[in-house]
Amino acid sequence: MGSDAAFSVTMCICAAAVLLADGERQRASYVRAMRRCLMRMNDVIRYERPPLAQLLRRIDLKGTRQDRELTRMLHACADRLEHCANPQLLNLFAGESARRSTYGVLSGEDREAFEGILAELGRCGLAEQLRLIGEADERLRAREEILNHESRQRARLIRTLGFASGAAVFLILI
Amino acid sequence: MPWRADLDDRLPSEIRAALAALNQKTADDVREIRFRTGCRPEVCTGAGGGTLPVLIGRAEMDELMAALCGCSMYACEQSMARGYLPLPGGHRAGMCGRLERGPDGTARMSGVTSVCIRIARYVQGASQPVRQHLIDGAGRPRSVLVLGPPGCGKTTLLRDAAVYLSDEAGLQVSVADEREELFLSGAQRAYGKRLDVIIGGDKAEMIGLLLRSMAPQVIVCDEIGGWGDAKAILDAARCGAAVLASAHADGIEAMAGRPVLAELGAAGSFERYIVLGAAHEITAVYDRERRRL
Repeated sequence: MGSDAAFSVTMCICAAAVLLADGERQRASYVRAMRRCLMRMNDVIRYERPPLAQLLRRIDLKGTRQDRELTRMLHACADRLEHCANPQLLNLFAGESARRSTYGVLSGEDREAFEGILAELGRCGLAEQLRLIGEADERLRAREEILNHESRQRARLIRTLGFASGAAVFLILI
Repeated sequence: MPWRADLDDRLPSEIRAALAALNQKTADDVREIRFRTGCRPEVCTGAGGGTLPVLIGRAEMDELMAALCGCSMYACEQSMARGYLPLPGGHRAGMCGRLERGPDGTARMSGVTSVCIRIARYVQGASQPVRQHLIDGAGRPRSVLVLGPPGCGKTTLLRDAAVYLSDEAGLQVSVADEREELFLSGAQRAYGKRLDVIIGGDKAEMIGLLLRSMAPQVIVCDEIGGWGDAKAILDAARCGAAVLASAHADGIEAMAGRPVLAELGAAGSFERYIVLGAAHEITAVYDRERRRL
């Protein structure tokens, strides 16, 4: 009985450790989705120059859960853009993202790197717009590198701690 | 006149609120709304006008430009480089700022400091006083040039004349609407029974397209400017289409000072010249030889 309980507790601690590490991966995945979104915006603006609402609807990413979530938020903003007088895209996006709990995995810096470009979309000429999108992508690339590095380190640490504490608890209980 | 509804989503909230406060009589008489950095917006009406209780600073002008572009300034650069933006409802925003050429040679307008929104007016019957000059005794359309200073009602007359020629005279009318001022883009109803409209391209190019594809009996275009326009009008005449056009000139004598108009006059391109005065009245009509009728 004692060894069964010890084994269960050990497994729970290890599972919690794995889940924590997974949260870090989700954050990195979201940042990558944002970069893909910016790449798409860059192409559509450069070659088609559609009005803003149409531009947002042309963002149609499907590869990961984060891609799909970001696409849904931008499409919802596009719908509201067409029914608002002189809307502020950043405010619309803030409203949409507040409704999605998965967006909450991102830190303030992660969000700022992406949402900064939303405040500037459609407010300047083509060359300036593409330059700003490039700068936003560079910010997100830097965030992605930091997250990948931190994520690997933290994941290793969490796994090690998790297994170590699980083993310790097992030894104590038996 | 629903211009306030037309422009509802193209103006910042402060300006929209100020315009909403105008009484209906004043609103119906608005011809232009002028914005200049550092000044209050000026509302110009037939009776004079006034200013709005809003101060346009640099930030407010940037906000106005973003709103006029429908938050899609990158999509409006080409139009802005020509000094205007078409707006919903057939209205137009002209602008002044810094016009520069990018490394790729394309022109760009930036640092806008003045905007003039011209309110389009459809006045049914505006061409009534001159309809007998639009068609000859045998029912054939005449080529007619409408002359006048800016803001005298040339476009208003052209718009009504195009609908008259299509709906009542039964002619196939094609409109080359370079600045989307003559007729609404994306209209939900027919412009006219026999009226076809091409919008937004270069005028000369559009006239060529219309001649090749729409078999027009009359081509209508606004504000003849350069040699490209003149060449297109001469082509139209050679193809047997009449042209109903307008040009800026303060009277028939002023035509001589504009080489393009002088050339068209010398070529006998127009059978009638209609001169409008600053107060929207028709001051004179001339024949092909510029004799007053």
